[in-house]
Amino acid sequence: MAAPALFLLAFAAQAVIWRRRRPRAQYTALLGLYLGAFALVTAGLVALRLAGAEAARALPLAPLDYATFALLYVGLVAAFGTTYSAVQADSPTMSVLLAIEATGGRGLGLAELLDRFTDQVLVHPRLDDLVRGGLARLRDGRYVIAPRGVLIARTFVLFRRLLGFGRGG
Amino acid sequence: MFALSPLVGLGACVVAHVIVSRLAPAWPRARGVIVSVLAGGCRFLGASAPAPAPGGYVLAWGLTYLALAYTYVFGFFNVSETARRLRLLVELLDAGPRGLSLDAILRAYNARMIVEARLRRLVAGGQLALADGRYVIRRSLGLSVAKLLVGIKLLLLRAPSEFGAGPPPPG
Repeated sequence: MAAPALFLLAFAAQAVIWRRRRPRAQYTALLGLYLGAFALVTAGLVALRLAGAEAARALPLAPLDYATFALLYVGLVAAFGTTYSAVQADSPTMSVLLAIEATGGRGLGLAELLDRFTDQVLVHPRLDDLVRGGLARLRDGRYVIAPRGVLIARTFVLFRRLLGFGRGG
Repeated sequence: MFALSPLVGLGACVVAHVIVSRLAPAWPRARGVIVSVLAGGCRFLGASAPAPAPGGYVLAWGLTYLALAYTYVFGFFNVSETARRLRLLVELLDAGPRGLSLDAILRAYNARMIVEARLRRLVAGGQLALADGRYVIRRSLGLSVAKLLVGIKLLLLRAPSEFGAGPPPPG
């Protein structure tokens, strides 16, 4: 119970912070917040153990308890971080479904969908993300991949080769 | 060591995914993913079942395995399959140090390609149907996920879409 409880607390803190002022480097801030909460709780557990506090008996102090707590918390944060990418940037798949549902059963043709989902909506913001995140640079009107971008792109190209798949997107 | 059984399961899931993808390339991607997650789940159970610990621990490890498998499927495999940023990065990687102009990028990867690929996947997955040249909702699972994401956006971004939320503040 400790890991889901800590995760929910960190999520509540994120909601308060994000609603006031969304950080520019969202993933760095997300990682800092959730791992910071984990580090704080771990420090608190160590302090309680050293103090031999009676109230700490229900907390994950034994090695097996702590390993279970830590791994579940990391798993929950990793799963949420994955989901957050579809929160931070609209997923085209989800946007298409919502647009079609909004027609109330009439549906949409390909041309209507292409009128709504243009390069300005689907491609330009993601190029801006790459530049803002330091994965690519805009130089003399040309987009050039940055070293961090090379590392990420090569990792995924290798992974897809391992699976025997071509490029995605 | 039993606490690490979710990682054993995750490793088995990834290995199974590579094997399934190589041995059965014609399978739908979703089927390969489901088989791999189940294979990883079996390996997880094999690694955690002998643990001399109360059932609550195995439940927590099981949840951990599911969270890690979800992260692998949606945060790694699905990203490689559908993420626009990654596809753009791969185009830029292929272009080398000269990079690409916006026009060249849009010739290689554009909104039409993105929309058509998603429509193909949604129809193949049974979420949409094509009737008289119009796409209509067939199953509500994908739509429910889309609505859940809108709820999280409203909670965190105070807008139902990234465009309503505006860009993050300048640093």
